[in-house]
Amino acid sequence: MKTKNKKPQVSIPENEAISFDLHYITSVQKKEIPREDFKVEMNRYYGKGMIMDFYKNNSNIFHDE
Amino acid sequence: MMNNEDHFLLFSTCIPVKGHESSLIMDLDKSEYLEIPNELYDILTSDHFTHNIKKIKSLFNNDYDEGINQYFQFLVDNHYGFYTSNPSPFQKLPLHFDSPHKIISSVVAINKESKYDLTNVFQQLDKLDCQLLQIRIYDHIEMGEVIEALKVLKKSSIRIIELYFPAFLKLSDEVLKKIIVDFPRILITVYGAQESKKNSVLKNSSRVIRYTDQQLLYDSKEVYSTDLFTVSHEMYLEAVNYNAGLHRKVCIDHEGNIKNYVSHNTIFGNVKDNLIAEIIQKEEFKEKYYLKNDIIEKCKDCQFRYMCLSNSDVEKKDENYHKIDTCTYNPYKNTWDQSNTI
Repeated sequence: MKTKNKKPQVSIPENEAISFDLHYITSVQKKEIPREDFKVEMNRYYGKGMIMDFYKNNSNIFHDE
Repeated sequence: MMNNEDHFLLFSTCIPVKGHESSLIMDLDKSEYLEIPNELYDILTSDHFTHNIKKIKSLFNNDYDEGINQYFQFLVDNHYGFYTSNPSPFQKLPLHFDSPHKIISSVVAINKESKYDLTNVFQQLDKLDCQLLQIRIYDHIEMGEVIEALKVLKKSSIRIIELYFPAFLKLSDEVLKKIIVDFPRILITVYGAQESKKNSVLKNSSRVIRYTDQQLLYDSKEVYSTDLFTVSHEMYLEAVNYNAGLHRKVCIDHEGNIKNYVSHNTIFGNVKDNLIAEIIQKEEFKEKYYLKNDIIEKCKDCQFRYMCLSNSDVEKKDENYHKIDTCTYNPYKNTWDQSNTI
């Protein structure tokens, strides 16, 4: 069976004011963001409900300089 | 650059607050404040939505033109305000405060004579959606019993559990580490230590055990200091409407008495006989919620009144409200005194 030709994906024209190098650097950098490390860090605090801040203190009875 | 035909507006989250001798601008977004003279407060709280800069200057008889130019530019440069030719789209911050939590904070005190059911108290506080729980341990008590009671909070919605206990209990690092690992929301403070320090117990963790050489007494008073002030959206809105320290706070002293705060004298019931939920519904218990700094003598003249946390009891004398435990700041001289008198 012949498959229908899909429409080409909409391509966003590159801004001519931005040099090719900058487009390239941006796309390469994006791939190198350490997503997993970030997720691990976030899970450490939010995964177990460890949100250790609040908008005010309960009391201020100790004050270490 | 400034144009006299423009309007000057503070950002809606930059709040000018007037004190008797000095004023400030609270920046709720950046959690900081800027001290300003009272004259500038008067200028900033004129109707800038209606009047442009030229008109504002004329309202002050053009006596402060140069000061207005410099201060407005300083505030713009430091992101407290901006110039605009059309102020109408900008609005003031709504001052409404509400919270889904029936109890926001609680302090529970325990000593070796305490005979109330700690587990049951924790369960009740969790049911009331308490967010901040402080547990103060005074004597040589069996920590195992406290840790056992804390287990009911493992799946609770309490955000932060502060555990204060004396250094003379001499809990080993291993025991402390186990508490921290088993209870991710517990912050430990060991008081009466030889020196004040913070010890990291777990590797690769920002969690620490805090040691302080200060003592915790049954009548320990609140400490007031500029570095303990809290500048935040919620704190400001709560302080504008309520007593930020006592609003939706319930405390259980070492005998099980239910109070607004552990060091207060007034007792509203006892956990051995009453449910906490019943007591906090009583109008006489909630009365302190509404005694905000704006109506308390001395505090109402202090520019720090929306960032200062105080759990002091409040008494009524000659139709005026006074805090029993006052701070050492004197708003009438703009100085921090050594004595508590003003």
